[in-house]
Amino acid sequence: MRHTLLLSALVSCGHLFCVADNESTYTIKHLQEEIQSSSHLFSTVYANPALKGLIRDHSLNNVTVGWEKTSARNGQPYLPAEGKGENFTSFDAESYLRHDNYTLTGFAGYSNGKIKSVKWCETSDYDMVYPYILADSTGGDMKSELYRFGGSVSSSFSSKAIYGASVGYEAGLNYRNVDPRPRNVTGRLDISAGIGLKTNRLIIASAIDAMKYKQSNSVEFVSELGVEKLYHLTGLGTDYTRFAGVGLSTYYTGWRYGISVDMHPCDNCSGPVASVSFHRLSFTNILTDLNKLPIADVRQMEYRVEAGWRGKSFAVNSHVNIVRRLGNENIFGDATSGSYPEIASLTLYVCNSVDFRLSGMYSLAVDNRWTMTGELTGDYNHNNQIHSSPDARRIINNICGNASLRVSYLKTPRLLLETRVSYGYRNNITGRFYMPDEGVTAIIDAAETEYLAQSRNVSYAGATVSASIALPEKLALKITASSLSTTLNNSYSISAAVFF
Amino acid sequence: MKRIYLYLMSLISMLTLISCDDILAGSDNDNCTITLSVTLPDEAKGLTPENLTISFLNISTGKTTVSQSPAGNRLLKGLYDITYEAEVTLPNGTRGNLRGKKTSVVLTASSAVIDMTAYFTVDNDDLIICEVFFTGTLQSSGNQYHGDDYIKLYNNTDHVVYADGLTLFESKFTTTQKFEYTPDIMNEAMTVQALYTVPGSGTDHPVEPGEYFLIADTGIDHRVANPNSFDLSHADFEWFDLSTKPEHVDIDSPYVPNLDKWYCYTLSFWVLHNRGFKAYGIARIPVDKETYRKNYLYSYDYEIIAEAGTFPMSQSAYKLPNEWIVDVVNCSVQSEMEWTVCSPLLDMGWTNCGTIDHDKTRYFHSVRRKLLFLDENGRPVFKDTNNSSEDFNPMCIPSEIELQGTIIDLMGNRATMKTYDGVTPIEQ
Repeated sequence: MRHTLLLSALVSCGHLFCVADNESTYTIKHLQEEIQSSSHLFSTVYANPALKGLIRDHSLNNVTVGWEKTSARNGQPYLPAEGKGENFTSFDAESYLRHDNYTLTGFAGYSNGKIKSVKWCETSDYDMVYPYILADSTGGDMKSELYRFGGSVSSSFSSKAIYGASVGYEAGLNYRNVDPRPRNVTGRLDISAGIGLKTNRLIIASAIDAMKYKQSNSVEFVSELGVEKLYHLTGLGTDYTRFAGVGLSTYYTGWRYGISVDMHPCDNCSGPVASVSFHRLSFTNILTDLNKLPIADVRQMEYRVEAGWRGKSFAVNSHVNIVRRLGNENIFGDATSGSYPEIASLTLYVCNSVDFRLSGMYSLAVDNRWTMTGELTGDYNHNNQIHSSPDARRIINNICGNASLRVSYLKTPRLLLETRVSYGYRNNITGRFYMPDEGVTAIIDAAETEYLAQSRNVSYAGATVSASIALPEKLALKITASSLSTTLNNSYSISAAVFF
Repeated sequence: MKRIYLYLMSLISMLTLISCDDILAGSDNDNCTITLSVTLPDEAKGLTPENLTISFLNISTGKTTVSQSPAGNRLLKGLYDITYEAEVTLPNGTRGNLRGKKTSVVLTASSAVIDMTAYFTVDNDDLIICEVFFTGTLQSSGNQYHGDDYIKLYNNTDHVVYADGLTLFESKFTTTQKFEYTPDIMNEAMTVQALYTVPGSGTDHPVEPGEYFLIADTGIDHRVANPNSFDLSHADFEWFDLSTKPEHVDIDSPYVPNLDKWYCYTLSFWVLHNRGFKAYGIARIPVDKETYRKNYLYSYDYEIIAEAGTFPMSQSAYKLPNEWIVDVVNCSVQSEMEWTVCSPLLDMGWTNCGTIDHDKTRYFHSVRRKLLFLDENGRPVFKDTNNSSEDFNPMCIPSEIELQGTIIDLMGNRATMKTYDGVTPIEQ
């Protein structure tokens, strides 16, 4: 009886694969086309909601569950604020629907996991709020949950005019259940709108976007023996000495807005792709406990110029991205009756960074089964940070190169195999860190560790294998496994996605 | 189209050559030029100060800028504590030490002249506070243990000093909370909330040169109740309070005589501030208890400004004239420190056990005065410049724990080394 049931199950599964019809193979074909697509090189341009309809000419949706793990190598420097590794499981759904002249996109996702050994950072979204973070020497593993959803619509007014709008929301919760116990809640709302005009071969479009951000932090101590000392870092190993040890509850509130002008060839045309954009970010770090004291604020200007060419089987792209972040520390007078009068606001921190990238890809289809896509990327990164009083300065110039080869094989119309290998190297051209001559030694050491991690010569090699199997009802199941090994860390991921 | 592409590539190339390492941070607009105008005491007027040292402590950043000149000091705008120290040669050939301090100075103008008064420091010809143990010990459960606080005095002079009539006091105001008091009497007197006096006829309690005088909270062997504590049954005096609260009763040790209680704020029993937010001192009050309690009570007003509004407050407390005060030690923690609660003439600085409020590392630690040198008789001479920041070693193993070799932490480790001041070992 038991054998009969098992045999029946196996036959059913086989039947499932065998009866995948011609419609199911279309999804496999679309996945094969994705491998040859150069859309990822022009992601900045496709951020304009009016141009989302140009990403692909067919619908493609997917639901994915995945697991990813990253671990720092022993003895190698790491970014203390980002921890020694991560372990996350995630669930994502993405849709790209084309209907008549409308293109609808949507995404929703949830991830849950842990960030290991976070040190000197009890704040989340370090990349957003640096250098003004709440920190202590103990740190520890941080549990993390992230929710996100959003979508966009793009269409045309007429044969000449297009438009689009998008909205997205992301909320995060990061916490720890042992002392010190941070609890960080983040929220981010993105909206954008774009319009464009079509010419014979080109589309010129413009978009505006805005982002509202808020993060609230609180750190608790349950131990009866007292609390750890918390510092308010101000960059490059310095801290706001006056409020060290106080202000266990803080929050950040900020805005980002920007404008872009983009150019893209019309549907199914080859041609130039370009984008010029400007964004301004500002936020304030506030100590809730001290009568909502605005301890510091940041203004950031970001300029980006991108230009490339998108062909049928090849694409080249280059961009230069200039970011200038200014940090103001607010100075307060003598506290009387618990009130701190603001007496000055000094710009004590600046971070200038320039990124230049040149990338190109070429895709070759050998009969209908084999495709090969090669990609080369070269980067130059310049990062210069300065803090005044105490004086500190850090300069890092890196040059990076990466080469990857992606090969896919359509074994049967219902089975697509793919592998990707890549190799890259980051070479540090200039690296100098002038540490502050006064301050907390442990904080300075953490800043030095961060500098070492970002200026170390790093090589990285990665490999990805995946198999896509056609299923009935236009479905396709794609299983992917990948690994990336660098001088500093290793990462692995596995995912299973259903495309339709 | 190709031309457009080439133009764009050229633009990108140009942009990459632009250097962005520039400006900001410490630009001229953020700095100010400061001149210090120091008023010298009458005896030093007309004399040229030597070995001049002016320290500008930026309270926000913690950075200290030291200068040898009162004029042309370029500083970042902000809030500063300014300290002035110099020496003068008096007409009679003796050297005098000058000191001045001004706290919470706001520097926001592009240039400013700061007025300050300097005073001669006076050598203390009396007992000094050598150690304050206020954090207490912990029980094995990790809970706080009460009763083993102590203050240790020392005869730093070369002659006998009598402890009779010496008054131990605690400040009313805390170093962690500052209000604008009206009237502000700090330049004339300290506001206090506890006074306990050594009884005697005047010659009953001699303290020889190089000898200590131990005043304990409760003079018993505390190891009976708390094995992590130590023995204070050999103390010279203890303070005892007749509690009005049956659930909080003080212990009157049969081994140690009691100080004469002049006043204390508490209805139960007095303990030293466990986190160290008070100033402790000794004074010689030239009037009797009844006269003092009758004539030295004063009232003051201040305001509490909170989100809910402004609340005017009125309180009364006893004041202790500065000229009666022999020695004062301000205690605080860095994260909470707002002001010293006495005239800078009495104590310009502060010391600490722990660095933050509720610092769990503060237990089993005391503040101990620094050793200057051993005299020809091998007696310690301790540093006394009326600046607790300079005169005291913070976070030390208490001397009584060192002497008795008792517990120094919850792990059960014991003291193994004896020191003069928590740092300098006593060579056997």
